[in-house]
Parts: sequence; C-alpha cells; structure tokens
Amino acid sequence: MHAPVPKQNDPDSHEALLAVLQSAPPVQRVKSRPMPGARSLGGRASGYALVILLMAALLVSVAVAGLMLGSVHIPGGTAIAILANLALGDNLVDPYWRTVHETIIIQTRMPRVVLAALVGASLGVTGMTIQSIVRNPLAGPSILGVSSGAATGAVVVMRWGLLGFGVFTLHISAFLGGLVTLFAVFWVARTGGHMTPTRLVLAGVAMSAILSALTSLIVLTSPDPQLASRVLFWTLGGFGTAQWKLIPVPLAALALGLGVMLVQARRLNLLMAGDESAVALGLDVQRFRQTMFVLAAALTGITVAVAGVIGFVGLIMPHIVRFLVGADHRRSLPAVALLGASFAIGADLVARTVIAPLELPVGIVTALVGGPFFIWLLRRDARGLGGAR
Amino acid sequence: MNRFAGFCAIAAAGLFIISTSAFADEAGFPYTDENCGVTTVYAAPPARAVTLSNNATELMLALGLEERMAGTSYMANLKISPQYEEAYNQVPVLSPLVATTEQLIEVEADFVYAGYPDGFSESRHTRDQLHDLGMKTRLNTEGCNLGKFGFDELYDEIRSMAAIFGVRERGEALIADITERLSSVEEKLEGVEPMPVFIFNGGESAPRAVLGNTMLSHVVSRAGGENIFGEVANRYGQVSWEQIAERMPEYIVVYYSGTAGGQVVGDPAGELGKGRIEILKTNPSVKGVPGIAGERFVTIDSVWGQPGPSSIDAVEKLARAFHPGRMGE
Repeated sequence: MHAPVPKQNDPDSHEALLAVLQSAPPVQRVKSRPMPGARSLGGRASGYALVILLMAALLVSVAVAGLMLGSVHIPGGTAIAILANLALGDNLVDPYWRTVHETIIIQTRMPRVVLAALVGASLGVTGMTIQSIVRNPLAGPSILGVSSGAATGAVVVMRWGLLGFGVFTLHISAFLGGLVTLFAVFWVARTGGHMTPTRLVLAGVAMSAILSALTSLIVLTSPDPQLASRVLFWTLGGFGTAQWKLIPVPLAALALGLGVMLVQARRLNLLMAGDESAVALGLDVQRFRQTMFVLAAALTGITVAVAGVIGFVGLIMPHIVRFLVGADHRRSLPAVALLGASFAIGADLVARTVIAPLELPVGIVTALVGGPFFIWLLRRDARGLGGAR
Repeated sequence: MNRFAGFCAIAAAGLFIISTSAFADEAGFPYTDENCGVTTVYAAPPARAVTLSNNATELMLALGLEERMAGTSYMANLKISPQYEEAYNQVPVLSPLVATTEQLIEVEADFVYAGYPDGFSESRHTRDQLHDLGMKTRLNTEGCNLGKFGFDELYDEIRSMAAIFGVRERGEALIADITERLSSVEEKLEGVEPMPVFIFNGGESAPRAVLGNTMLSHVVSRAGGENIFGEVANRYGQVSWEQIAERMPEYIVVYYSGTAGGQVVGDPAGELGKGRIEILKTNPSVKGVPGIAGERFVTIDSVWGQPGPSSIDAVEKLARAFHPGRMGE
C-alpha cells in the first residue's frame, strides 16, 4: 500500500529524507493509505521535464483559447493575425481588421487571461505551501480565513467609503482585510503559546464563517444600491475587470512569493515529515511555519484584492500536481503554478461562454469542478483524515 | 500677395463664422457633469451612446436622442413604452442583459448610461475601467442616492442628460410635460385619504418589499397611496408576512423586472407578475389582508417602476387603480 521507500544509505543526510518525501504524502505520519500524490508519474528528471513541457503547452493553448473567445465574435484567423501583429509588428502582418477588435483582444481579453493566469498560479502555490505548513491535504488558501477577510475589507470600504487611494482603494482595503484576519487567526491559534496546524485550520474556519456573515450583514443593511451588485464579485470572484494597470502588483507578488517558496522548498519538504523529524533535522518549526504562513496569506490577500474569492483552485491543484510530479516542493511548486494558471484561465473561459451573453462568477465554475473532487478526496481518504489531528 | 492675404482674411472670417455658429449650436460646452462622485467633462455631445437599462433607454429616447445612440441593452423581455417604440427600433439591441465591455468596445461607444446601479460593477465593468477605454459614463442618480428619490431628483437627471447632449430645451419641455400631468393627477386626487399600499417585489418564504428610498415608493405616494414600508430608509429589503398582515395594506403593487436570478425571464408579466399575485393569494399568513382578500392588485414592471419618463405613466396607472372615482373611471 505504501509508497516504496528507497534505501537510506546515510540516515543523517537531508537528501535521503527528501528522497523519501518525494514519494511520500504529506500526511504520512498518519497511518493511512497514501494520498493520490504518492506515486508520481514524473518521478525521474526526464519524466519531470516532459510533464512541465506538457503543462506549458496546456497553458499556451488555454491562453490562446481565452484570447479568441468572448461575448463579441472575432473570427479565429483575425484573432491570430492580431496576436501575430502584436508580436511581429506591422511590417510582417498587415493590420486589415477593425481597430475595435484589436482593442477587445489587447485591452480586455489579454489582461483578463494574464490576470487569471497570475491568480491561478498564486492560488496554486499558496495552496501547496499551506497544505504543507498545516500538514492537512484538505487545507487551501480560503481555509485560513484570509479570503473572507479580504472580501470583508473591500465591502467595509465600499459601504462606508473609507480610505482614499483612488482606483486601488478596494485592492488595498481587501489586502488589509486579509492581513487583519491573518493576525486574528494567529491570535486565536496561538492561545497557550503554541500554534498547532489543527488550531490554525479551526481558527481559520471559524473566522471565515464570522466574516462571511459580517459581509452579508453589511450588504443587507446598506442603503447603498450599488453595493449588492458589487459585492457578488468579491464573494464569488471574477476576472471581468482586468486591466493592464492591475497586472504589475500580482505579477510581482507571484514572482516574489514563488521565489521565496522555492528557496525554502527543502524546508517545506522537511515540515511534511512531521514536526519532530523537522526539529531533529535542525528546523525552527514554529518560526518557519509562521513566516511561510504570512507569505501565503499575503499572496492570498493580493489575489482576492484583484479577482475576489476564487475557491478550490488552491485546494485541488496541489493534489493533481503531487500525483503528477511527486511531493518534492522543488518540483511541485513550478508545476502547480503552471497548472493553476491553466485551470484559472480555463474556468474563466467556461464562466464567460457557458451561458453567454451572461457571465458566471468564476468562483462558481471552480467550485463546481473542485467541489466534487474535494468530496472524492474526502471519501477516498476518509479513514486517514479521520485520524489526522 | 495681396490677393493671398485677402483670401486668408476671407477664409479666417469664414472659419470664424462657421466656428461661432457651431459654437452657438453647442452652447454650454465644455459641460462638466458631477455624477455619483465621478466628474466628467464633455467637450461636445456624445455621438455613440449605449444604455445599460430600460429606463436609461427611455430617458434618452424621450429626449429624441436615438440618432446619437449606438446601442441599447438590458430590456430582457420587457416592452418599451409604445410612444418610444419607433425610435427604439432604430437602435441596435446589444444584449438582453447589461452589455459587456467587449460589446461596448465593438460598437465604439463614447458614452455609457446606466439607469440601475448594476450597470457598473466589478462583476461587469466599472466606470473607471470604461473611462480608461475612452468611454464617458453616467449613472441615474437613483442608483447612488442614499436618501429619498422623487420627481425633483428625476428632473435633475433629465436636466443633466439634456445638458450632456446639448439639448437643454428638450429637457425642459419633457419636464414641463411631466409636471403638467403630475399636477393634473394632484388636482383630481385633492383631499383623498392615502391608500395603504404594499409594494411586493417577490419572495415566497419571506417577502421582499420595495422600501422608502425608491422612485416607485414616491410614485405610489403621488398616486394617492402610501407605501406601508415607506419609512424604511433603504431601497429593497426582506420583510415578514406578519408585518404585512399587521399593516393591513388596502392595495398591492406587484413589482417585477425582466430577470430573475440574473437570467432573462421568458414571459415576465406571466411568470413574475401573475406568479407573484398567486404567491400572495395562496399564502395563509396574509389571507386577511384587505388588498389580498379583495384581490386589489396592480402590476408595475421595471420600465415604469424605475425613474424615467414613464414614471408619470406609473403615477397615472396607480392613481386610476387606487382612486378610480377621482380619476374619472
């Protein structure tokens, strides 16, 4: 049943432990069946390169599909010509199309696809990191309450018109809302001077419930007629307001966040082996967990600020990726970024085409795809998770 | 040389005359529009306007601006008022719901006008986003107003729109017409006891009411009625069947739009209008309510219920229903 454990020639070596972890699920300490990621397909280096290549190809295909489809029909050939013109210039590709079609593709669809990719990638890597630091495969960015907190922050500012940062006011307030929630969750989880993964998750769940109720209360009691229609965006997410000027912040955040996570990948691997083992190998578990938690929460806050709360991406992408490339964070983090980006673009594509001209909030699509997967995971790992602390 | 100078002088004079005459045509520009916290400067009247709601569409058509419109949207399956039908048919319908950003770009809109607050939002397009795409915007002030909204506020809306399009005299004419019809109703209703009215906005397990801060609540009062939830300083909200039973409305105004849950409804008058009357008639909690027991229902759809040129038609329709003797029927 368990993943094959390679021979450990040098028991003290981190590398030997990592070799175990590569093929071991994060809840291995709990006596249970391995998680879906136990036996990876891309275990060897060449296999990994192939998986990454395929994921990159998938990302490019959904991105192109995202640029070609929308509420205004632009012929596929024209769309491709516009893209080619953008890449190669007027000399090679003669602009024969209406300029409005170019505007639609370059000013609305392209930032939308890019934003979806950035948000999906961010949610994927945050989800993977959070699942490691709380050692719970059912954890995700929204479980920490940060998503709800960010949404509440935005709604509070919309309701009472606080702060004055111009067009970025809502984004900043959403981020601050997420940050405040983070500290509240920390405070709850730390009672007793110690912060356990279980407490973090429970504190996050409780905080999410309170904040969601608070958001609804603010909306229902507000005399502001604009609020109700605006709030839907924050609670169910969407990429419809994507603009180029919104791109730099989430792009920088993803680059920075993913960079730090990759640098810390080995430590994340250690954490998955359990606190005792990690401490034995010289890791300050408490401190490392808090640092990574803040990083994950900050990244989540930024995604909510630009695209609202989009559930399940950060929950299910890590599982698929672990199944494909194994649990070693040095391999899985880049992969989950690629897959998360493709998934978010794909979900957005479904959201805006399935009942066109109506657009679904993208959170509905991700939940409808992710929810059943979550349930499957629960059923599959029922015994093991029941035993998790 | 002299001839050239002379030619220049004549040309300059000609240009001057042309420009002043053009200026005379478009007096009042540049016009600065202050609307719901957004300041917009109009150097000239917009030429390719798109409306994002039915009352916005009717207001523009009432000002005779159909030639300056590139599209309308969000009529769902409701009907435009007959007097605007011919003009309405000259303008392309972009979408039964709120036109998307892409559709606005496609028709090269230079002005986007919403009559409901949901026209501009993060889930579709914000005003800021449209400004960046070169489109000016306006929201009917009922959509951002935090207090009561009535005909005075509607006149302000008409004046602002007329100013944006450089047709102030048409705006004044429209206002004069509405004012005259309103005072005629007022005369006929002089001294009547206000009819207690519940404005029902659907809902089975719990009823949704149209509250005090709406145009429709004001319309009911101008028609000789009194919204039983008029003192609640909000637009729409959930109330309880008990409260309706306790407040004993004599008349029920059944309000509906062309959509339910964000989806276009096939036959709004039947599914929503008649459907909502059925809900009231079959609910045991409100059986004893005079307006329901006596089946005194009157329907108003969102074309007439939202602030616009048809608000006066709504006043007349409701006045005839509430006080048939006074209105000569």
